[in-house]
Amino acid sequence: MNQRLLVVASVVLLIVAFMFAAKQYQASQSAPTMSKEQQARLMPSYAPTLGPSDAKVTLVEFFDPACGTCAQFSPLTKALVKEYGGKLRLVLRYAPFHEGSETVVQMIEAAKAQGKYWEALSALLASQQTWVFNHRVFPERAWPVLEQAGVDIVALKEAMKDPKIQAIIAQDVADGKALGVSKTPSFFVNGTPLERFGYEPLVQLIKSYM
Amino acid sequence: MAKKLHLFLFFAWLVATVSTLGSLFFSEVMAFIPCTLCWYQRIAMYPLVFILGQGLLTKETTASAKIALPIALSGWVMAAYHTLLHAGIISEEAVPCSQGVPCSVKYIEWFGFVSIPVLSLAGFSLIIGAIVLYLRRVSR
Repeated sequence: MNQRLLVVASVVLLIVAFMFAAKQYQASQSAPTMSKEQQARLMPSYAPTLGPSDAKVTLVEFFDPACGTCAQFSPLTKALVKEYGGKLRLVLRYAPFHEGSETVVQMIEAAKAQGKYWEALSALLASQQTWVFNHRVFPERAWPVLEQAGVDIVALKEAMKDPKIQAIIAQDVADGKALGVSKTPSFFVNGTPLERFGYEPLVQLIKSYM
Repeated sequence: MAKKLHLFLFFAWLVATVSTLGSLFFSEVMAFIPCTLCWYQRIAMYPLVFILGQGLLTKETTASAKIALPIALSGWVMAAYHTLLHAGIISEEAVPCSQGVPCSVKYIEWFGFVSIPVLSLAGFSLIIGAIVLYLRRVSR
């Protein structure tokens, strides 16, 4: 009998201790600070942007084209830019965490030369289930998607060889690391990282700067 | 006599429970992403809480200890492997780690040597030691 009491009391005590420690930890973490060096890494001039450059609020999104949540968020963030008409700018950065994602990023970047960047990006994200299975990326399945989006595939394959694209990806990956991006999508609103993930918290953070 | 014996098992259960909550703290509160090897060790650690707990709450104490022992041993082997990996004695290529978090990444390092796999190894060692002591006393 005593033993049972000991076990049950220990369970209760340990769970209370866990919750207390979690609260303490969260309280100690709630003020995210970014160094000047980190801030400088947020928005390189080459990064694709949507919305005016003098917008009041800038939303930086690190994303992986093969990430399901990123595909879900993409139309939402674009809608936000529209909704805030001129007051919000979206800056996209790559965080190709999935194996094979890099090739798809190359495709998207190469579509820039044809002026089809956003078309290629939204087509690929919208049809993600056709070229990503169980977190495995099949880049060759992305070609028909791009073709349907009106991208010239021959020219795209040529443009993908541009070493500048590799440099852009390498820079994005390095910046992501320096900024502590470990999950996608990762958002920064006017340089402040989104702490609690979710669409509502993101909107709240944007609103707080409006 | 029976009461004293169970203290060993209670200790093993306590270590398993603290380890379980500790690992959950690392992943859920501090947001460390567990690597593949960490998951294998979790698979061995978490059930010990229930198996040993059930043993302590019922009369099946000895049976629970016997069930828990091989599970704890398998966890110990994986923790030892992970610790050697961190120490650089085994190279990363030999690790069953996929894309994501490589198992050679060190999230914490207390006093220069206490990393998460070291904590895991210590936990499994204490649990195994306590169970063995208990079973030896019982069989006597």
